[in-house]
Amino acid sequence: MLGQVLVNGLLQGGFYACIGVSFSIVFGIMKIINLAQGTQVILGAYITYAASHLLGLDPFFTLPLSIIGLFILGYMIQKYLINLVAKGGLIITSLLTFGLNLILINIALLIWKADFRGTNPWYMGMSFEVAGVTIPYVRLLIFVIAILFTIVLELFFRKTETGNSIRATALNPKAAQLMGIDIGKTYCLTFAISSALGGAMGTLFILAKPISPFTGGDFLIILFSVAILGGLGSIPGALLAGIVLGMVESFSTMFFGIAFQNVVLNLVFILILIFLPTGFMGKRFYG
Amino acid sequence: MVKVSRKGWLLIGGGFCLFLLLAPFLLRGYWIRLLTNMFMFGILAESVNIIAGYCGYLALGNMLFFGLGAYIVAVLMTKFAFSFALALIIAGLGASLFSAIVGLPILRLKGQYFIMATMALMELLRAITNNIPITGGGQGITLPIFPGGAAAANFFFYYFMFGLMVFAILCTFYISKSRLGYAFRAIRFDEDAASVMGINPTPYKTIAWAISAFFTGLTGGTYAYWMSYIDPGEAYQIMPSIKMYLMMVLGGRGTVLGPITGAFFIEFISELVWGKFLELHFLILGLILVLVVIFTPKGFMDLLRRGLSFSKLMAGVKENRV
Repeated sequence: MLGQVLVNGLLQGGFYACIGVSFSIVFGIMKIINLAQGTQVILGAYITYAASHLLGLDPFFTLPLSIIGLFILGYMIQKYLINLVAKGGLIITSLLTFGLNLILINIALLIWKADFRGTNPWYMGMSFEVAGVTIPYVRLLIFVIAILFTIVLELFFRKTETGNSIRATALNPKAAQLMGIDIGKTYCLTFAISSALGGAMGTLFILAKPISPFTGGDFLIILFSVAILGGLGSIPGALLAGIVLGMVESFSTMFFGIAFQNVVLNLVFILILIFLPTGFMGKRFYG
Repeated sequence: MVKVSRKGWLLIGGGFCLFLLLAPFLLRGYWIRLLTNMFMFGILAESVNIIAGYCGYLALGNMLFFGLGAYIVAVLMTKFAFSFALALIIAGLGASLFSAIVGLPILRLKGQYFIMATMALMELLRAITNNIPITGGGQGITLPIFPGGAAAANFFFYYFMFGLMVFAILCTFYISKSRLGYAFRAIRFDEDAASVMGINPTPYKTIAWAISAFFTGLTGGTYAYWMSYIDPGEAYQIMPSIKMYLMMVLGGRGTVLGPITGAFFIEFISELVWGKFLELHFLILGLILVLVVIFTPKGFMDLLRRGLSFSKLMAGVKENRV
């Protein structure tokens, strides 16, 4: 029983870590709270839903579609909307991302209606057992892919020139500009990467659970928690935070039941903000 | 453009107030309810203005006090047979007290962190309300119906909300002129500098949020009795919170009458436009949000002052551009 709860928490945690990272990079680099991120995840899920129903593709093979689709969408959003107000302060950027959230939700509503939609591939219910713990194949694959994406992103930030220029912009936009970095373009790229990662997570999410246009709102507390608990700008920290959060959710469901899951998650988040605002591996900047 | 003098503005304002005072005798029920709703959002926008517009702390989950006030009134009136007046006073003070208790740890957080904390706090209250028996859980509570029929209720709540709004405006006006207002603005401008100049930020921030919570709680309580039904999904919503901020930004942050005008404007067009396009409700509000923050981040009055021309509008957009 305990083993099962631990494994459930771990598997869920990998997914949480990755969507948390997708939110955290925009938060850490541009200091923008992207309230539309949950809905971007859902849009990725809808791309998978549409592709697998219209083209008959296996949901896992639609990953490139949702990544490319959301990358383009994210780039456009940043270039034509967020960059216009990026210097306007917190209230302006928050209102803008919430407005975007509403627009995206409404578009999804117009196309797919408010019903819950899911995918049902042939390997859906299959699982294997290790030492009395049931592990569904799909969940394991989701976990592995999410962790893989997170590691690739960390390598991208550390090892490539573009990654370095993004981190430099986070550290000090003015100095970065003097070094010849185009801030506007860097922001576009950052947001596009965040959206693409979100889209990929959407593809993974719809494999596990059905979605509706409003499902995106449920992610917000997870996104906030991973970003803060992991520490601003630390991807390894976010990985750890995601898994901790998965465990918290899994154990709270066991002890208090599913009804109190939201109570526990929100309470934990507020306590983190009060007692551990810099998170596990927080630094003062994204360097 | 037509220039309106100070005297002219006073005349227009006075005429509008007179109209509002006599409106229940002139208009039908639908319009009365619409105006009452406008007053309600006026109070909410004004109370957000005190903490966010003056003090600079963006309590994006401020609707949590609305829900709290609504539920205090609902529970006290149904389970303990309190009168509306007494329950409402307890709701206002209760919301204030709650803001002070949670404010002490949370108001130490800044910027994005404070925004997230208030949003999580609202979700937390909603989740708790959903799960405890005294609030009726997810089914909500039905309150006693206002005695005297629908027409009397319309009449009563119209004047009640109107009175509350006037009270909120007067309070904000007093704050803006007093030492308190100077302290709030100093904190918004630069908290560290303010504390060096001898303003201890903690009590001032707490007071600002408590005043904001007081009005929001009163409004929530009145709303619960007015609608005579309340459930967690409706009481604790992020959407009205965002709308309050939109109204405040559109009308002008840190001004006394700005949020009220913003509230009237947004509620009026929302009723006239959105009522016709239910399926596009989110889309239209989203577009308004996007357009307002891009073109009028400093408020509508600022735009008027600079003059309405395309080139000036574009120059304004350039200011915040990366």
